[in-house]
This record gives sequence, C-alpha cells and structure tokens, in this order.
Amino acid sequence: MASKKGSFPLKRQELLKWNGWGYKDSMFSLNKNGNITFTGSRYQLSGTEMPSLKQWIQDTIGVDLDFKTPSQPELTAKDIPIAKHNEPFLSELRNERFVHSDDPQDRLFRAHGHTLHEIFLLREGRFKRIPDLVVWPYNQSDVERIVKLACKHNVAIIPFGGGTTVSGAVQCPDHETRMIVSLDTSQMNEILWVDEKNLTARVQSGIIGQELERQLAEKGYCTGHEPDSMEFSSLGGWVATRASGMKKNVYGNIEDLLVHVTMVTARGVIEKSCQVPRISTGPDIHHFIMGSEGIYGVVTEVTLKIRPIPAIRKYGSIVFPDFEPGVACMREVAKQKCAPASIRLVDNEQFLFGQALKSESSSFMQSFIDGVKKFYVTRVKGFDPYKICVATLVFEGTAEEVAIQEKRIYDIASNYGGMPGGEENGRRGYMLTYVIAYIRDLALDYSVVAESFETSVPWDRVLDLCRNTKDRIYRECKERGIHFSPYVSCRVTQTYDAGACVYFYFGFNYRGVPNPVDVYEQVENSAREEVLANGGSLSHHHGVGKIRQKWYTETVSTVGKGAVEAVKSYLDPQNIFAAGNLFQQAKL
Amino acid sequence: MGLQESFFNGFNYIIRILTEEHIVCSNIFVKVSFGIFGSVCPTVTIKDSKFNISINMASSTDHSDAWIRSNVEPATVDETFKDGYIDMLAPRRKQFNDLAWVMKKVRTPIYKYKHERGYEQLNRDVLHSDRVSHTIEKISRETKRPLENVVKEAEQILLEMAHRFSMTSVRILGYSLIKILKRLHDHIYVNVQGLSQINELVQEYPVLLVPSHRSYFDFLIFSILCFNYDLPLPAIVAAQDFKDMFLIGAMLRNSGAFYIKRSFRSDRLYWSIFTEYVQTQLYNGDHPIEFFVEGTRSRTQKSYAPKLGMLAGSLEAYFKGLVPDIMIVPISISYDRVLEENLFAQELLGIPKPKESTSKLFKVFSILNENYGSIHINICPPISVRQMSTGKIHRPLHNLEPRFLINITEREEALVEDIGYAIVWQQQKNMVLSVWCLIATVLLQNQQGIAVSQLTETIRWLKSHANSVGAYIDWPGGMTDEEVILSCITSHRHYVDLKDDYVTIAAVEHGDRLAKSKHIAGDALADAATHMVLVIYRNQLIHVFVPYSILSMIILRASKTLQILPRGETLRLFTFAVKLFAKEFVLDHKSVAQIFDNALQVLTHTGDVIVDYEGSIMLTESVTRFTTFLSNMLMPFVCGYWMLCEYIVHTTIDIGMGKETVVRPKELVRSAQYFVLSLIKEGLLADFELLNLDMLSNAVVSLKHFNAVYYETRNEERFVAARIPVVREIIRDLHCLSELPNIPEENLRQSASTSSLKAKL
Ligand SMILES: Cc1cc2nc3c(=O)[nH]c(=O)nc-3n(C[C@H](O)[C@H](O)[C@H](O)COP(=O)(O)OP(=O)(O)OC[C@H]3O[C@@H](n4cnc5c(N)ncnc54)[C@H](O)[C@@H]3O)c2cc1C
Repeated sequence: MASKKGSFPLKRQELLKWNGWGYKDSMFSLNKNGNITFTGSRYQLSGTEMPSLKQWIQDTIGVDLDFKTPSQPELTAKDIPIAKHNEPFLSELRNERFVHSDDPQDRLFRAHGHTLHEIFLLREGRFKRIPDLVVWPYNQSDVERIVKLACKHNVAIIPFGGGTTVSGAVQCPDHETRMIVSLDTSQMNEILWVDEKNLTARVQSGIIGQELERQLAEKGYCTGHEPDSMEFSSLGGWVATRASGMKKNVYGNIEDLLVHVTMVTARGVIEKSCQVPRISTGPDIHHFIMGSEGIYGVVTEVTLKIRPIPAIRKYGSIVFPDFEPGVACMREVAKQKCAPASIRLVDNEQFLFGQALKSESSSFMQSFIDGVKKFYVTRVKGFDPYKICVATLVFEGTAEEVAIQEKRIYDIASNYGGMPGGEENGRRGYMLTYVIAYIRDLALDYSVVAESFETSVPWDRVLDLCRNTKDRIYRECKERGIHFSPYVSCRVTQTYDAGACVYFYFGFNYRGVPNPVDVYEQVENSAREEVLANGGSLSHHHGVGKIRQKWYTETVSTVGKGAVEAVKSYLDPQNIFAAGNLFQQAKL
Repeated sequence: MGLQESFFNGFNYIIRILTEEHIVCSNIFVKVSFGIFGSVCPTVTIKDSKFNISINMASSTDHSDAWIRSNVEPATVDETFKDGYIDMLAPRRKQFNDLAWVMKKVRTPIYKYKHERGYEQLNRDVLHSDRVSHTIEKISRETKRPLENVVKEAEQILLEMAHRFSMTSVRILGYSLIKILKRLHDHIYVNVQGLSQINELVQEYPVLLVPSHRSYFDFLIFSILCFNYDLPLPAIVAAQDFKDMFLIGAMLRNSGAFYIKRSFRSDRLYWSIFTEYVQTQLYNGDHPIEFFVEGTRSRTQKSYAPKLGMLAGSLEAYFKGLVPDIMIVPISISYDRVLEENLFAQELLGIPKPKESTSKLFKVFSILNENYGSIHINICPPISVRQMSTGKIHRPLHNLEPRFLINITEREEALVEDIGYAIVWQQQKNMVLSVWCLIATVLLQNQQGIAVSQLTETIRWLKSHANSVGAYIDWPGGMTDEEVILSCITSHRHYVDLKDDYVTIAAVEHGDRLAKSKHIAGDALADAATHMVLVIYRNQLIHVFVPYSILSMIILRASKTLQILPRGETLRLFTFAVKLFAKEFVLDHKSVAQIFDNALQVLTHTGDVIVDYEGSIMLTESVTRFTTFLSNMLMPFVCGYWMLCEYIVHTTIDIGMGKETVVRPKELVRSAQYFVLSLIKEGLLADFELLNLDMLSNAVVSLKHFNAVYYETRNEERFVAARIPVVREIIRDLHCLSELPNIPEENLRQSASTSSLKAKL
C-alpha cells in the first residue's frame, strides 16, 4: 500500500533517520577540509562550511574530534523484540483490510520520541518493549473500528503522530503484557474543508505542520501555528500535548486556535455539537482532550482558525549589553501588549553559539556587527561580546502595520539600552531554530549528551530562575565528577501578560563518565527541581509524558490528579490507551 | 549595657590618645598620598597581603646553597607560620610603614552577579523595593496615616539602620587599629586555607560570615583581616547600643556596620526594611554580611545558643529562590586573653558600672601596657544552605504568593534553627584553646593552691585528655612544659600568685568601686571577681568536656551507693542534665542519646569507664582521676541550679504565700545571689562561682522549661511564679546527679528570708 500524497511514507525510516533527528540527508558532519558542514539541500544552511564551529565545540564543550562515539549500525531483526500477537485481533484486522505492519524496523521507529534517553538507546542500546504492530487508519471511521476491535480483544493502543515528543510519551510501558498497537495517524492528513466566511478549516489529525501550512497557503491562508518541530509534528500531537507555536503572539497557542475537536475513545466519540467562538456549558471538554497525551483516546479531526497570509513578514533583532536589561525590555513589551509575532531573547551563550554557525571565517563579532545598521555600530562595539544578548523578532502584517510595530519595539528597547541589531541577525536566529535540532546528533558522535527543557514562570522570577537553574546545573555536574564544564544556555522564548516561557539547552562532554545518560537525567531532574522551586511550571509545552510524572501530582494537587484519573477511568475502563502518560495508570 | 558603654568610652579614648598624632598626620597624608602617590600606589602594594606569602618569605635573605638555612634555630617553630596559620601582624612589624599598607590599592574578588552600587543607591533600592513600598502602603491604609508620613518614618528607620561604607574610613580606622593590635597582641593568626576559601566563595555565592563573639574586638578584626588579604570587606550587623556612641558609632558605620534593634518582630515596617536591606545585599553580593549568631558578646566566654532572627531573614532569600545558594562561613575567634576579662567578671557578678573618673581612665591606659597574647582566627569550612536544605524543605510552597510578603514555613524555621546550631558547633569545634584555659581549669579545682611541679604534671595530663576529645590547644614549641606554664602565669599575674613554687588564685586589691556596690558587702564579691576571671577562661574550654563531665558526674554520684548503674538509668539522668543545662551548654537536644553513646564510647576507650556486657556501668572501676576531674568541673553548675531551687522553695514557704508568690525575674536572681552569698559567709558554701548571675538566671529559664516556674504578666511587667512540687522534684534529681553540700535546713531558711527581704529594699 502506498502512502498518501503529502504524508510521511509508511516506512518513515526511508526518509527520516532511524536513530536521530530529521531527514536522512541532512546532518552536521566533518568534511575533508576538517571543517564542519551541514549536508543536503533542504535548508539555508545546507552545503555551507562553518569554520568557527569546530573551534567552538572544542573550546566550549571540550570536544576532542579524535574521540568519536559513533552509533551502533542499524539494528537488524534479531536485535529487536519479537512482536506479541493477539491472533483474534489480528485476524479481524486483516479481515477488515486495515493497513498494518509488524516489520521490526517499522515497529522500532514508533517505539520512541526524541528525548536523549531514547536516542541514546537507539545509538547504543536496546529497547525492552516496543509496539507489536503498526496500524494506519485513513479516516475517523477507521479509527473507530480499530478502537472497537482493540476493546473487544483487549489490545493496547498508543497513538503516534509525528513522533517528535520529548517527554517519553510514545514509549511503551515496560510492564505492558498485552499486545501494543501503534496507531500511526500519518495517513489521516487531509484538509476536509475550508470555511472562508468564518476563517476556519477542518483538518484530519495526522497532518504534519509544514504540509498543513503549505496546503493552506495555496488558498492564501495559514494557521500561523509554528512549533519548532513543525516539519515533523502533527496536528493530533499538538492537541494531545498542548503545543505552543513560535508566533503565538498573533495566532495563539493550540488552545486558542482550536475551535472544535473530535476524539475517539473506548466509550465512543466525544465532541461538541457546535463550532462556536466561545461557549458556557460547564467545564470545557476541549480542555481535557487537550493535553491528554494519548491516554484518553485518538484525536481524529480538528477545526482550526485560519488567517489570510500576511502581506509582509519581516525579521529584526535587538542587541542588549546584558541579559538583565533584555529581560526587563521583554517584560515591558508584554506590559504594553505590543509583542510582534515572535520575540525571543537569547542569552550570551546561545548568542555566541549562533555566531559559531556562520560560514564566514572573520571574527564572530565583526560578522555580527556587519549586520548592524551603521548608526548603531559604535554603540554595539562598546558592548562586551561575552555579555551581549540578542532578541530576535518576527513582524507580520501590512507594510504600515509592520513599520508601526517596529518603531514601537525599538523605542521600548532603547529605554533598556537595546540597539537595533539588523534584519540579518534576526533572520539567522530563526533559521537556526530548525537546524539546531540536528546538532545533537553531531554532539552524540563526539561523546556529548545534550537536551533542551522548558518552563513558564511569572515575570518577577524570570531572571532568578535562569540564574539559579544554570548555577544548579553547573554545580550538580561538578558534584557528579563530570570533567568538562557543561554548556548551559537559555532563552526567553515567549512572553505573556503574567510571565514568560524560558527554554534551556544543556549538554556536557561525558568523556570519562561511565553512565552518561543516568548522570544526565540526575542533573536534569535537579534542574527541574530548581525550576519548580523558582516558581516555574513543570512544562510550558513539552508535556509531562513519562519523564516528568514524578512531579505531576504535586503540580495539580492530589485532588486534581484524582479528577483527571476519574475521567480516564470513565472513558477507558480497560486502559486500552495504555501509554501511561501523566501518571501511572492502574494496571487492570 | 552600662558597662559596655563605659568600656567603649574608654576604648574610644585609647584610640584617640594612641593615634592622636597619627590621625592628624594621616588626614594630611591621605590627601598627599592620593595626590602625589596616586598612581604610584600599586607599586607600593605590599606583598604580604597575598596568600602565597609563605613562599615569598621563604626565599628571602639567605644566599648560601645549603638546603637548610644556617640561621634558623632547629628547635623553634617559626612564629609567623604554624599549623596552617599565618600571622597577620608579622609583616606589619617587619615593615614599619603602616601608612603604605593602609593606602595600598585593594583589589578584591567580587561576586559574579554583582552590580556596582554605593550605599546611597543601596538605600534607594531598599526604599523603592516591592517589599518596603508594599508595607508602607499597607500601613498607611490600615492606620489611616498619610502615606508621606509613613514614608518619612521608613526613611528615618533606614537612615538609622544603614551603613555608610567607605574605603577611606576603613583606611583611617585600619591605621589606628593596626597600631593598637600590634601594641596589645603578639600575633594574629589566621588559617591560610580559610582565606583562600573565602576568596573563592565570595565570587560564586552570597556569603554570610558568622564569627563567634567574645570580645568587642570581634567587630573589626575580621574587617582588618579582609583589608590585609584583599578580601571584600563585610557589612556587619551591629546592635543598636553602639549606634549612639560618640565617634565610635559613626566610625563603625562608615566601616560597614549597620544597626538593628534587638526586638522588632512586631514592628512590620522595621522588619520589612531590615529584611529587604539584608536580602538585597545578599542578592547583589555588595558585601559579605557579617553577623554574630549568638546575638551578643558572651560574657561567660561559653557559646550561646543561636539567635535566629537575622539568620531566618537572610535564608529566606534562598527559600524564595532569590539566590542560588547562600554560603555560611562560621569563624572562630579565640583570644589568649580577652580585653574585657575584668569587666565581664564584674558584670557576671552584678558589680555596678563604675562612675566616669580620671582614675578609671588611668586604668584604661594601663590596658595598653598589658600584653594580650595572640588571637587565632579560624575560618571554618562553609555551610551550604542548599546542601543543608536538601530533603528538608519544599521551596515551591512559596510559589503562590509574591516574594515580597514575608513568610517562612515551619519546616524552614526548623531548618534555620538546625543551621544556627550547626554554626555554633562549628565555631566551638574550631576554637583554639590557650594554656591559660588549662591552668584556670586546674586552679579552680585546687583553690587552696598547687605546687608548680604538680600543676605542670596535671596540665600535661589534662592536655593529653583534651586532645583526645578533640580540643586544639595552642602549645608553644621550643620550651619545656614548666617554662610554658610559668611564662603563662607571668602574663596573667593579676589573677594568680606565684610564691615559693606555689600557685594560688590571687587575692585582690579591693578597689573603691566594689565598696560602692549597694547590694553586697564588697569584699566577698571582689574576691569573687578574680575567681570569675578564671571561671571565664575555664569556660572557654568547658564545651570540649561537657558530655563527658555529665556522664562522669552521674557515675561518681552513683558510685557512692551502688555497684552498677544500668544503661537506662544513666541515660535518664544524662537526658535530665542535658535538658537542665540547655541554656548553659549548646548541645544537640534533638539527639541526646547519640551524645550519650558517644560520650560513653570515648570514656570506655580511654579506659576510664568500664561497662559490662549489658551496657551497665561498673561504678567502682569507673572512678578514675579523669572522671573525678570531669565531674568536679560541672559541680558549680549543679550547685548553682540547686541553690536557686532551694531559694525558691524556702522563700515561698517562709513568706507563706504558697504558689502565688510572684517576683520580678531580676529580683529573683538577685536575691538568690544574696542567698548564696550569705551561705558563703557562713562557711556553708565555698565556691564563688555560685554567685554568677548569668548562671542563676539561666537556671530560672531552665526551670521554666521544666514547668517548675512560669511567667505571668501583670501591668505589662513580667513576673515569675513557682510550682513548688515540681521544684522539689528537680532538687531530688539534682541530688541524684551529684553529691551536694550538706547545709542544715535552718540555715537555708534563715538565709532565704533575709535575702528576699534585702532584695526588696
Ligand atoms: C526539535 C524539537 C522542537 C520542538 N519544538 C516544539 C515547539 O516549539 N512547541 C511545542 O509545543 N512542542 C515542541 N516540541 C515537542 C513536540 O514536537 C510536540 O510535543 C508535538 O506536539 C508532538 O507532536 P507529534 O505529532 O510529534 O506527537 P507524538 O510525538 O507522535 O506524540 C506525542 C503524544 O501525543 C499523542 N498523540 C499523538 N497524536 C495523537 C492523536 N492524534 N490523538 C491522540 N493522541 C495523540 C501520543 O500518543 C503521545 O502521547 C519539539 C520537539 C522537538 C524534538
């Protein structure tokens, strides 16, 4: 059976890496000149040489290019757990002609998301438990029938969208003894209709972000939902994890974009009877579908708001002498409610890293300053390059609207010592968000483990949270005998009325550390504890999954958890949706 | 308070006299050197302010290629460096140019997140902080006072509180102080390790410096040290009392002291300003903050239980995630001889403060002709608040309120207490004890006098026992033990007499001011004063022995009537004693069994206590020279507490008011002292130490813990009332702890009634 146009192939591993991030053709690698390049032709960065990057990874992370830790070769059938078969279920499935596969590689691909733990296992270890079967429904009715069969034969289902989760959400619980089906939504990828009067569109849940935007663009529309993973993550996944997009200031997060949703549960279909902008009918059922992380059922169709594509998209940047005034400026922008489509403030570490990815071999400061308007150059030159921070901006709208927005932002910035840093420096920032995900695979090749984590926090605690969490990480690394100073960096990546979203990158060179992933997780756990102690949330958008369960009850209170549990036991008494996310579901 | 003041007036005077010419000069010099040497200063920077001094100095004059220098006496220990200590004064003696030292360019390490700000900016930041403006607004709303009015009050409070740190003041003060220190002291030792530790810490985390507090000198000694070694100078929490002292108050303020009232929990405005003032300085790392966790100078020279207000106010900054951690550095400052020894002794006895007079000034001057030996500053390993809190508190509890509202949770309060105690124990543990402490201890047990040879032998014996329980004794090298002891006695000749190879506690010239003491016939108290000086030096070392002493005391008492003491009963008495003396000795009341086991183990290992297979103590075998000595050491305390109890019991019966008898706490203590004194005069008691008012008032507090007395407030004044049966119970237990002097009932009653009447007069 062939895959549908615009979707991932059924055999995703033919297009995507089996043991790392993104497309097979795209990766950072060392070329014959001894420089790091980015391969392929998909991205702006593809094909360029980055002469300073090598120096940067050597200096900042202590990477020794002669010390490689390559991945194991692609696993063969004998290294992949044997599939459990529930024969009655299988035979009914076959009778009803569902597309399915128990090919080991297909199953392995759906056994994981993209946490460090999972990728490290792919590269160096084995999964204990992986799905026993992959099934591809093509529409809602397929889903309903599959779920019925599963209930009938007591088979577990884990919905699988883009597989980009970074919370362990699609991993199979080790203790699950029933047959596990990975329900792959990739073939449910059609836009069912577009309603131009109400500016809404009905979309199947398996559609991938970039495909959604491409198809809408043909009609002159967009949803404007752009999570950094939009090349690979699916609409259903966004709903299931309460995703957040870069341009939420204009378009909103998934909860703001969603007008209607249909979910298939073990009890049947749950949905509202109308598609209205707002409703007052008791607790909003949308709000327990959103964020249900695959444990309540399968999201099949969603009605989303759409917008005409803006006339202009313009980048911009602001250079701050230091992180503190940068945060103060972000706060002011939020206060005045004039944030452009996107505004992000990266700290100095991340700024320097961005500069290291440049193709020019001139000094990083020089090439940065080349992007700054003449008028401001001398001022920016006076900043300490090892303190500088940059805010990157995306403006959208008509030319006049953008001009007004720009003026307002740069005026506010100047009150905080921020200088306009030019369009080019802004554009780079955003271009990098898509390729930066690829860098971890390079890092892993050279004994560096790394990952990101995020939180949301009230404005008054943003700075303290950033500083204290960084300090905690440095200290925990030291105490655990990690020989190289870790790389820790953060950015304030979203602004809200009452607070901000902060995003951290953290990695370290583990040469000489026998159990790097364990150590990594211990440090990350401490970092999370620190985040919570500093008024931060358990997650702004990645979700709880499995790796953050330990703090779930504390976060929502025991009673709160009980309520969520009660919904689960009503919707799914057999625990068919057995992914085990949010909290350990009672074994039946 | 009165004594402090007078002392300080004197002190102030000394400084003036001593440095009169220099202050005048230095004012001029300051200008000149800024003007002329301005940029030259760095080259003048004196090498000795670096930690690698030992290396620098080692490679001086000797040019011969022998690997051992010929000019060094092999048997002597270099006095500049010993046991990891370095003498701060040595270079100041070698290089006479104190002016260059005081004008040196100071380059200190700074906290990595610090923003430079002067004290004026700091004050503005405090006034405009969320916390203070919130409180001001709230008070104005609730009391209907105009806002400006409350703001004014806040400004006034802050003005009185805040320091006005200036390097120039530090230099001027440093100049005078270094001269005084050189005059009074032989050496000021500091552990090198501690210096480099502080150097690193201050860059990484906010730091609290917490010295022990046994002399006024504690105030500035650490600042001078920081100045000398290029460490950031601390802001120092000082009690309000200093503030209004002429000259001194301002001088301290300019050197970084800030003033806080003793109790202000109920004053919201004050509390919020104080908290903000401290926390913002921690947050920004303007200065390390120095404070005395014991709250006040220890007149008794024993450590006091920690006062927790300042600590809680500081640690809140960590609990609420303002700072990544706070590093607490306990510092033990030990004086061979405490400048205030006499004053302390008199204060403990309640001898009233002397009137200002020229003759007294002469006395003050004589201080300058005395030698006060060495000071040891031992910077202890840091206590990380984060580490101490792991698993004990839950910081996210603060997420539901803005951080400017002051509140800490019960678990955090408990943690603050734990940390407070941990600090005091660290300080105790790292004290450096002098030979004189040993001598005082031995003499107090030999009040009739002791032959030099016997003294020497006893000291040697005691020293080895002290070492084995973890005391660090500063024993000079290169002399025989007898020489050490004789030289020590010479330098403390005011308090001991040496005649015909026989050492006794000195008889005192009875000064006129003692005679003026209204309460008590002067002579006895005057004799007691000398005695008390010895007591405070014994106290410097008593903490080392306390748990062993309690155990020994129980053993000795029981051995009079029994053969064997079961573990359970021993532990019961031990626990009773620990509780009884809670205010006397800072012990971990939460783990008494552990202290007990440890004490038992140590004494069995030294072979002093014999235990059978069931853990019972074999009493007769366990009466040794050491256990006897240990037991005697505690005698005065048991006796003193007992006296208070007896006094209460007898007055209550005698006056016939039963349980209802109430007195002011001060009166109670005073009249108990009379009671003791009259029994001493009758020859029924012998130990002057029982007159110690500090001990008697501790006993009152202790009785309150036992519910043997309780406080009552009448007309806003506090009174004490007793529950006689409980007091009697305690007396019974005291008898089980130790063999108490035999005093006829009749005498007790008589003395009690006369004393209580006297106190009323
Ligand atoms: C490099 C990178 C960048 C990222 N950037 C962002 C970002 O900017 N913003 C953001 O919000 N997240 C981001 N993420 C996280 C991740 O992309 C999101 O959580 C995303 O929403 C997951 O979508 P998915 O389709 O990949 O879901 P999957 O990974 O397939 O599944 C995630 C969870 O949703 C469930 N699920 C999936 N589809 C359905 C369905 N149809 N019905 C019911 N349950 C379903 C799964 O069972 C699982 O529990 C990023 C991840 C990576 C690796």
